[in-house]
Amino acid sequence: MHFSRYIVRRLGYSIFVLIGLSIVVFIIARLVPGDPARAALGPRATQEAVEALRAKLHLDKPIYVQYFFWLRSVFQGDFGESLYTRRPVVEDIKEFLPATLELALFAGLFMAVFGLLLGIVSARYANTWVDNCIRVLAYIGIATPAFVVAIILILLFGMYYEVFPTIGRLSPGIAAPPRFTGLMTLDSLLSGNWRAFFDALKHLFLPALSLSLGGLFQEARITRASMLENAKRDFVSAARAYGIPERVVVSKYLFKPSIIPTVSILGLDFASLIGNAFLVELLFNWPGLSRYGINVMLRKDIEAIVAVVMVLGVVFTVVNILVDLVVAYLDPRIRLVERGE
Amino acid sequence: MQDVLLDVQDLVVHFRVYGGYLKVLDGVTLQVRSQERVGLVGETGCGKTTTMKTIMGILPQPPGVIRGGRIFFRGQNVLAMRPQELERLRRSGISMIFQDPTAALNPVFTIGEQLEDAIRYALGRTDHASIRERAIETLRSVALPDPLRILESYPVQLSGGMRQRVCIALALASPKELLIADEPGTSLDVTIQDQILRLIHRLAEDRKMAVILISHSLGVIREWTERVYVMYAGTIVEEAVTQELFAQPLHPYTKALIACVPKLTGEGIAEGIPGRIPDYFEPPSGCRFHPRCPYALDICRKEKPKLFAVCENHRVACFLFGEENR
Repeated sequence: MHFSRYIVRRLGYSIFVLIGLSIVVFIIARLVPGDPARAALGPRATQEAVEALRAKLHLDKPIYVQYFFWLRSVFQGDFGESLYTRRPVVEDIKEFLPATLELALFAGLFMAVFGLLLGIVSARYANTWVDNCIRVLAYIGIATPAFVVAIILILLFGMYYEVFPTIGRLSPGIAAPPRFTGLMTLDSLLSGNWRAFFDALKHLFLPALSLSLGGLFQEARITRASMLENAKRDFVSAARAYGIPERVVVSKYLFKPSIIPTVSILGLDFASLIGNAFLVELLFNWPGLSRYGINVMLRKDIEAIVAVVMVLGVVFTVVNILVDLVVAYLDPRIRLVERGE
Repeated sequence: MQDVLLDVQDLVVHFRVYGGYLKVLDGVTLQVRSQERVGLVGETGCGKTTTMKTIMGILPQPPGVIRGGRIFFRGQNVLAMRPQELERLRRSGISMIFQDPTAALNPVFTIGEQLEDAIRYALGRTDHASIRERAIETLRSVALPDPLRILESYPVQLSGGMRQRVCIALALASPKELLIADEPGTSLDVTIQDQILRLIHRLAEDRKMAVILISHSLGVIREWTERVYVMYAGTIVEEAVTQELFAQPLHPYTKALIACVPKLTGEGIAEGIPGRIPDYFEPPSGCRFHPRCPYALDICRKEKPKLFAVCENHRVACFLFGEENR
């Protein structure tokens, strides 16, 4: 199996993508009108002070020189300093990224599990009332923006029936577990703190659900369509013709080829989750990176903007590589064609 | 008839579509005796594959609806079988080779995985080593070289001819009494097709299997079968011993079909049959061939002709030969 070569090549492509992204974002952030040094120091600062800060930030040099200065410090783990929080941007990201990742991971889990389940049920009972209900729900779910779902869920399960908390990542009375990964559920598990674990899960449920709903129904629709499509294929009839029991035909010979498109779309949907997370994070008072990213953009905090975009770019790339690997694992046609057979 | 293995009587199958039904099979009647090689010939879309899928109990329902008729295999009523009984029938009774080997192989499993599953369930084996051994043996029996490599391969890594052989191996993973070969090798080039037909012939003789060979090629039918059914638009229009059919075709459709075959010695281009297979949504009344038939009578538009025995080895469904027209 030349799977390892496929992986290496895929990683190589990703590095080019990330370098390209960094150049684009770097230039855009610098082209935004207004002088960041002046903005940082305020209108009353002297021209000399502004010039000094510009020199310190290399803003007085040509943009490609600035880029290489930036690149060098990035490789040393330094994304510069936020002009507003006056902290290294890396510190900010370390603080806010895990919350968003945790939210996105759970939303992704919901999409994968419930999306597949609904799709399978829908295909199994195709064109019956069960299927029709799921399809109508799917249209509504896909058409409704995540923040509207969030508001409805908050009103319904947070206010009317107080079953789920709607603010933050943990209840006020519960001590946060020691920070290993920044993922509240994982940290509480690692420290054996079951109370914090279940509390963190309860806090995750509503925001993750509202974030996942659109993608979830998208997965359901795609799974349904591809299962029904494949069910008509000869290889399914053929498996039956060889005397293979119906349950094996469906759960193996029909299921595996049918989930390939679902997995591909899942990757795209997962990546867009992080971008969509902003309003959901705001509504649930979730201390995440999306919320932070919007704030720094509004403040023209260029170092932070570039850093946030780069981090999201890396997450996006990693997710896409993982999805491609899963798809290549599921579908031999892809990995075999890749190596030119 | 003695020793009838498969007996299909008046099979009627429709397909549900938006706004109504496609009346595809309109009374198909055919018999296959033990170890007999039977041909089924007809234009693309005349219902050959539908008939075979119904016989095997793998007709997708819906959209397919079995409206009437009976199918007996070894005297057992196939249409009344429960799903488990049908599975048993397919493990030890009938198997099928599909038209397009590329479509019939699951693209995301190795050949080994698919073949070993077929063996596992058909023979009820659980011991992995013996399943593997049997898989290798089966691949050898269809003359595939290097079976170990093929077991590890995915369908996409094999040539068309190899895929067709793998399909035969899958169909014959366990002993069968009847093999349905649906246009085997049609998608391959002529020399490979010939090898495949030769292989099927040999396997049928070795294993004492009956074969239904479906084809739209009269040459293939003539060379490899003992008896032929000619099918037109969902009905059997003529049935005869192969030599007899080619020596003396009776049904106007059969005659036209044989006249269509270009002859190496003949001059000019062979004529086609004017018209097309009818619309199954609203098929012609009476004999379904009458709109294309140069000899159509009044009765052909009104009544559906029954199969009429011209002599012991030859039956035809045409009023030109019916008693009332003699």
